Amino acid sequence: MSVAWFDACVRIGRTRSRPHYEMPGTVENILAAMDRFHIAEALAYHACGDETHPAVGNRLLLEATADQPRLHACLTLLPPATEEFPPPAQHLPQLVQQGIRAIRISPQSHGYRLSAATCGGLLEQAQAMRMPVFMDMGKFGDWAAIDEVAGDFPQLPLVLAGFPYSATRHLYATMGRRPNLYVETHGYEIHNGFEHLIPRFGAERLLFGSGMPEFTPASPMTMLACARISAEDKHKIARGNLSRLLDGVQ
Amino acid sequence: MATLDFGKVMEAVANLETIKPYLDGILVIDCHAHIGPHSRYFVPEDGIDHIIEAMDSIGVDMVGINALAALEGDFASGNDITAEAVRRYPDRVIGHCCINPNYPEDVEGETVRCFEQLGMRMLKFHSGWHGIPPEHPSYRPAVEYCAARRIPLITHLTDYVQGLPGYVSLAREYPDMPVIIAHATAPNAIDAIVENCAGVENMYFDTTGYPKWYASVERLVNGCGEDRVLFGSDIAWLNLAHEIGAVIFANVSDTAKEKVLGRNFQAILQEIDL
Repeated sequence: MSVAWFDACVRIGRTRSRPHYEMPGTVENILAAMDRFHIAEALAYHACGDETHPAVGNRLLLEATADQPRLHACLTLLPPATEEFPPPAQHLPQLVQQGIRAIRISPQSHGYRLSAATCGGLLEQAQAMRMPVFMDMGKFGDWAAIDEVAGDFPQLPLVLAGFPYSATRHLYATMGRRPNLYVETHGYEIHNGFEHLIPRFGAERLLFGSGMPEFTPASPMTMLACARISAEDKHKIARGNLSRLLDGVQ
Repeated sequence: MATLDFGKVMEAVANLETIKPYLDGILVIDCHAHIGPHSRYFVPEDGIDHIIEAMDSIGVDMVGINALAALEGDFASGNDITAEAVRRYPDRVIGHCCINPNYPEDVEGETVRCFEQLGMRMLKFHSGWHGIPPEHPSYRPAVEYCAARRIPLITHLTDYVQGLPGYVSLAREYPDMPVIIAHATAPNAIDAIVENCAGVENMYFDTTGYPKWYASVERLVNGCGEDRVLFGSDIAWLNLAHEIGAVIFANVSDTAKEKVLGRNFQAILQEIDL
């Protein structure tokens, strides 16, 4: 049976410093790699959303993905108090009208602490619409903030993107407390990771991601394919869970 | 000789099936692994039985391994853990002898014990954790013992790139000893490795590394040569399938993949004169 993999973590665009053997993140390169690795669709964000400004990155992302039905834009947003975007109660419904079904926040890149005090209006509206919010982990280590926000907005699907393997003790504790917490898996390189985590928290909370163009899809795909878990759970992680979250946006 | 059929393996992975049937007949030796546990990270199911299970589920024939405990202060008791794994799986497990140069009075004795009593077949340095550069005299009794017997030395690099010149000078001084630079796909090391090590014939480079950078295996194979790259996974610290995926799907020839997966390291093991 053919599986239509849905990649939850692809980056379009150039970063200010380029790892010298990273594949340039052009749409053409990303699509070619998706073809090579049999990835049907991908949720994509733009590098400039972190490094320049989300408004710039979002514009470039929408231009780059406009005629690409396999690439779904995941816009990067900011805390609402500075009014750099329209008020979330207007903005998020507008985005859904445009076909956007997921957003992304990057507290570390944008210089704020993740909390209800800073992000409350945005996360409240996303929760009301059940719109998944991807949070760039990078070297983000404020697990108390993740726990707090996931608890403050219990119906908000909060996805940790680029989770580092070294934070598993935090992850287990927080997943146990917060059922609305999800993990995108390209950084989840744990021996027997799926086999150990799924019986405790379920496969429904794991989303396949490649981390392209910095990282190769070969590794997370092989890890999932070879995992000693049920075929049903593999399908959920490869596609089903992300599709369910995106389809659940109200 | 079996040949890896990239198309079929890719199709299996794309269909969420294990790659094991396609590795049947392909020699796969993982030169770099650990038996847990460790203080800083939670590693589920880190014992040798679980590691062998993971190898069997993917099609990995042999593993070079040390107990993480052997890289810490009480390296002798850690070596005993490794030795137990060798004893239980003599055809599957290649033991790393770990010595700690902070205790130079024990280096020679522990080296002899590891190779002559415990059945080890590789030497392991972790100069970064131990804080002593690889060219330091404290290592010398172990180096000279291994060089005389063509026993390979495996090192650690990622957070210890500054140690690379020391490994190069060691490899030049002891040309009969294979020197394996671990984590050679690390982005902070790969250029320096290609520039400084590719020309040193007894230096080899393992593929372990977190995370798996796009085309890093390709860069290593193209920069250092397909005869000089060895598959390593860092299991149980990291995930075996995740690591082998980067080699199997690398954009290099099937012959190069087969060499990296096992034949290169097999040739090194066959030269050991213990």
